[in-house]
Amino acid sequence: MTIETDNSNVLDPNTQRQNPVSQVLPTFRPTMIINKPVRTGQRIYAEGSNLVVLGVVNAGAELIADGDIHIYAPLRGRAIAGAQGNENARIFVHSLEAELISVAGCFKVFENGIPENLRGKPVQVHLDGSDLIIQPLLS
Amino acid sequence: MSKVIVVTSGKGGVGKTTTSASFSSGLALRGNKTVVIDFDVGLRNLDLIMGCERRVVYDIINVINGEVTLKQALIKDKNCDNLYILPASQTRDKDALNLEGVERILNELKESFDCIVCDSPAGIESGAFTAMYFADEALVVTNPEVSSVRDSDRILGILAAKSKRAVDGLDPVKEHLLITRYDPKRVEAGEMLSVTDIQEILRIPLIGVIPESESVLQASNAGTPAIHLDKSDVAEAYRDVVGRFMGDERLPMRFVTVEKKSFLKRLLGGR
Ligand SMILES: Nc1ncnc2c1ncn2[C@@H]1O[C@H](COP(=O)(O)OP(=O)(O)O)[C@@H](O)[C@H]1O
Ligand SMILES: [Mg+2]
Repeated sequence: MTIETDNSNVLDPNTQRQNPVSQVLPTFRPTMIINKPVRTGQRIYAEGSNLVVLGVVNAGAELIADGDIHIYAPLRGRAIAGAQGNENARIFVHSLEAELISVAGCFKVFENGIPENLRGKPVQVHLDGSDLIIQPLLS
Repeated sequence: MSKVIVVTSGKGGVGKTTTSASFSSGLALRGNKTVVIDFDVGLRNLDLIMGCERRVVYDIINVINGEVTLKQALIKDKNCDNLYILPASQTRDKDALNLEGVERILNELKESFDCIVCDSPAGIESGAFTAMYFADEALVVTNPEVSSVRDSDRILGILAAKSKRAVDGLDPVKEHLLITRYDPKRVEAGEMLSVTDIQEILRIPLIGVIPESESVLQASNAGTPAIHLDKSDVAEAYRDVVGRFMGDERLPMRFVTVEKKSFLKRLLGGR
């Protein structure tokens, strides 16, 4: 027996996959809220909605949302917003320590570490054309 | 109400078996009827550390297969009256350790024991999963290095999502961080993670810090759990862990800073 840590039971039961062709999509789906740590090996997918995470997201953990992602704790793993191609999706992070961030398929890894002016800082991430922009959040 | 406590880590060689032996002995010394179960099928070594390897006749797989009764397989500890050991098998297939069988054994043990300590094998495969599945509480054993902390994080994720308590929607498994093989000198030199660094990542309550010490090897060679050693930091640290587990929250956290050697000690060459 092997153990999958995809952590499907963290997923909201209301966000089961639907057939997009035959069904009229609702105007919005409720935001998925995760209020505990997301740990190595766990993956959270907010299908068709935004994702709010209140606990730490550790290295080796993965957040995916079709909408925006808000993390009110350190992001040490991966965050993938606009996973179905929404170029207006954004990521908001309380403390940027990430391995990877991505919006609508445009991604950035931090092989040589995160630049000093952004590391451990609150930031927002958005797309400008095909450029992924990471900006400090002014407080 | 009896408690099932798993000693787990993900990574191997971090001190799970050492901890299981000392922690279960400490619980027994404090008057709890305790049994410690070796889940490391194929790599049996809890019985060595407990010094009872020559008395092993039957093992947990024999009990699961219904070949012997639990009573026949339990070995009484040589140091503590209240302590029994249920050894692992050295020769059987790991898959014989199935969830149904283990649940049956645990339920039977709950009738006569206060504390059931499960010494988990390394990894996140079936053996480690079986050891943690029925846990009420978990001691997550972590060394001050990045790979060990990462593996502990993964185990915490599995405990939170896949344990019986999680699956049944009960209160979550109570998690305790136990940092072992801690060497304050190497932490100060920046060679190892500090207690604060580890807590920052794992974010669960700290139940104790066990210092790195040669006496652990001597104790295991002698077949005596380290908690029984005289005048040993490791024994003191494990006693503190048991004290905190039993609810004494005022115990100060010791062995986390470099001890300044007194002039006299230096003169006498003591460590
Ligand atoms: N506090 C400690 N100081 C020094 N060595 C230790 C300490 N704890 C464990 N060890 C040593 O580390 C090795 C692995 O310990 P063990 O308890 O068998 O780990 P695990 O069960 O996690 O594989 C053993 O050789 C043991 O003697
Ligand atoms: Mg072991």
